[in-house]
Amino acid sequence: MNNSTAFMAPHNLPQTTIVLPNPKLSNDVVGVNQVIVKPFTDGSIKTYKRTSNRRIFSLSFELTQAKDEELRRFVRAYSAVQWRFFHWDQTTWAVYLLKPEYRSVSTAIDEYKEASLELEGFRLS
Amino acid sequence: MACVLKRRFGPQVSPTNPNITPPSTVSPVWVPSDTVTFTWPYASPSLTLTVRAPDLGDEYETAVKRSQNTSRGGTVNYYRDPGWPVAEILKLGFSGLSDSDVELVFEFLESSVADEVGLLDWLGRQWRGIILDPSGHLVAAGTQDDNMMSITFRGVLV
Repeated sequence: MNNSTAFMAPHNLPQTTIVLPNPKLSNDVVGVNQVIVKPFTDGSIKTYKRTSNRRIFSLSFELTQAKDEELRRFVRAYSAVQWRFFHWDQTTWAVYLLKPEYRSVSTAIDEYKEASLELEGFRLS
Repeated sequence: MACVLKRRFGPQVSPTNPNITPPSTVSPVWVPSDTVTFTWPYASPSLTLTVRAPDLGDEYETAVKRSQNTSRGGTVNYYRDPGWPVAEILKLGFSGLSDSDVELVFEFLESSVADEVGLLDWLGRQWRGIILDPSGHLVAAGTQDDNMMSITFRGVLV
């Protein structure tokens, strides 16, 4: 288990690396598999599937003002390229930023910001 | 070492990819202040509004324009041109405004509607932009000198 999370971009030719604290608990990860069920007139049911090795990560960070600015600049520069995401469980992922918006809110602790990211991608190692 | 990296500004940039301009590595300098100052017009100000710094819970959003294409095979591609706009939006809430402040706020909002204004924020950053909700939504929270106001500002850092 790492005590930090890192992003590197662009994935294919890395240029910038940033290190962040691990996200808060209640971060979640979901798959993007789909199933379509179609009933037919003979009473049968057919299922169609679309499987994928991709996952969607929803991460929420509590950052210092400086780290918030660092992540904002990173998103601004690399919103349309693939990132390398070094997960705190020591796995590595190739991900895209799902929504090209970066929003941070100041928290009850002065000088700290709460920011969220949604990433979608597949595991590299 | 890791602890410092998690708290301090320190992107690590290597000049390996000439196709993308990396983010600036110059550490931001902030000069905290107890007030924010709006000025209008931006170019040669004739009206100034100074109010106390916004409440905690202020929002700063950066929205980047990009286009997306999903191929029949399911591959997702994103495209972005460096010239495409980036929207920087501040949502600020102010409380504890006096009754006299309220009049000044309305005067400023009515004068500056749809015009470019300057904003010197509570971190000493100078912005140039427009106020997106010039209706001046003020709420009287208490009986006297206790008013709340929210402002949405879209601009660029100067």
